[in-house]
Parts: sequence; structure tokens; C-alpha cells
Amino acid sequence: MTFPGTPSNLRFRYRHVHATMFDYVKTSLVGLGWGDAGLPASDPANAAVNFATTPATYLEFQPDESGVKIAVNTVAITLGDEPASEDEEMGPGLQLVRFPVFVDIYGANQAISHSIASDVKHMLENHYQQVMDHTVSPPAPVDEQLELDKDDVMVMKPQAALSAQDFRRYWRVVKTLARVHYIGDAHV
Amino acid sequence: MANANSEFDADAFRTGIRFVYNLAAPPVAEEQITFFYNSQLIYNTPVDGEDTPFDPQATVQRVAPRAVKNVPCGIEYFDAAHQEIVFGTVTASKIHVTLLDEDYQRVKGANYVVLGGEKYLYKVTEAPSGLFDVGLYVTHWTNENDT
Repeated sequence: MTFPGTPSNLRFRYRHVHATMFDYVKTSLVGLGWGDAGLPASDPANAAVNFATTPATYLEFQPDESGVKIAVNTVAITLGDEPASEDEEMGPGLQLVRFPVFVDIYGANQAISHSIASDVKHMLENHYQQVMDHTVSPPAPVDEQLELDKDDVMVMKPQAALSAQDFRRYWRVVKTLARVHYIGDAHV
Repeated sequence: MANANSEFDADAFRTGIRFVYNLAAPPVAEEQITFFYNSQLIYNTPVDGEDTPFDPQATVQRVAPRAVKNVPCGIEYFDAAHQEIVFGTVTASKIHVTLLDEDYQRVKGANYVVLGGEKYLYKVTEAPSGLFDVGLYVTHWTNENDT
């Protein structure tokens, strides 16, 4: 991993980090054969979905918080509360912020939920990339480093899943921290 | 059609029902029910999953669908006033709007209605029912301002 060397002046960092994580998880899961419900059934991504299950639906928000019905095999990628930035010892002006990342999985059954969660856990372990600027299309990398450490990744079963009905009782959450290293903005 | 009956005049039935609905409608045009659709916002820059752009200077083209008026329908009002509720629980006034199949197609997908100056948000449409080959749809709407 290479630490940043120049200020990126990235405005709305939280949203760009969120979008970067969403794109990474979604692209990876589609590549691993979980399909994309947002594409037609004839699309190659949905030609041979793992275990012949329903193609996954990818959301950037918690479906219940936005009044959206939860479809089978929904994968919601969200960030938690943004903590304070920390000064790092290496490099002038280098700062670190640790964003909590949540990947909520509503699988068709226990096995599907655990299988998706297992793939998500694996892709979140020891992954390094640049934060992507989503004000342009396609998104362009900025000089901010996003680090996902294996020591932060865990899979949990939420308490609410115990009393949930139908497939929502197979709800699993993969939690980790997205460590973003960046050069702090100059303040006059 | 599967439920058609040769002795049942669907057009006459619809005409009769619409006569009753129009009879019960408020006499003041501005107080009659109007169906609205949310505006569609088209940005010239990339947007996220909630259709919000990342660039605060993004320009937006607002497309506002035309509101639909003069729709014959039956309206039931459920008042939430004078009911004791637990603090923090929202119990809003509601209306149920019943429409014939042809009229339902005119307003299907509406996001909110305005009736008597009050705005009601769309909640759900019941499973359709009917009489032979005439369909009936009951839609539920909740008052936006009630707490």
C-alpha cells in the first residue's frame, strides 16, 4: 500500500467512500456468480447464478429505513457513523479516518446467506485500493488510500433476525472498517 | 374475459358507479381529489443509489408529470383525532379510495393525493376484486401532516 502524497481536496468524502465500497462489493459479487437483479434475466451475469438461486439485489441503503421492500438475496452496503479523523505519524498532514462498513445480506435460506457472507468476508480481507471520485463518469481514483484489514472483518447474525418472518430470519451482517488515509486539507 | 357474463352490462355498471361517485364528490372543484406524481429529476452528472448527485453544482432538469383530476372514485375517511397514542407513535388520518378498473389505470403509480387541502401519501393497494369483468381497486393513503 502506498500512502497518499498530495491533498486530494475530496469533498463529501463519506459519500465517495461509500460509493467506492458499494462498487467494489457489487462488482466482486457479480464476478463471483451471484448475479444482478437489476439486469435482465437474459444478461450473462444472470445466466448461471450460484446454486440456481435468485440474482442478488444490491442497495446502497438499508431497505427497511427507506421503505423499500426487501427482496430475496438483497445485499445492502452501507457505512456507519463517521468518527473523528486521526493524525498519523508518517508523512506531513497525513490523516486517517475509519468508516464502519456494514454489508447486510438477506439470503433465500441459511446456506445462501452464509455463502454470500463468506464471499463478502473474503473480499473484505486485506484489500487495498484508492478512493474513487464519483463526480465523474466513470469514477476516477483520487490520492486517498482505502485499506480493508482482515483483523476488522466479522460475520454476525443480528438479534432482530431471530424473530423475523420468512427469509428475513436468514439475515446476516458482515462488518468491517474502511480505513481511509488522506492528506488533510490546508486550513488558512 | 374469464369472468364475463352475457347478462351483465359492464359499461352500464361502470356508468352507474361513476354517477354515484360524482354525486358524492365535493361541489367545490378545488376540494376534489387530485392525484399527483413525484417530479423526476434528471442530473447531468453521476448520481448514487438514491439519485442524488455527488457534485453539488450539478444542474438538474425537473420533469413534473401532469396531475390527474376529475377521477370518479369513492372515498372513505378514517380520522385519527381524539385517539390516545403512545408518545412517538404515529397514528395518521387515512383515506381509502376505491376506483373502477379503467379509472385506476389513469392514476396508477400516483405518489400522493390532495383532498380538501390535505395531502395524503400513497401506502398500498389492496388485492383487486371485481364484479364479472369490471375490476375494483381500493387504495390506501395516509395524511402527511398528522402525528
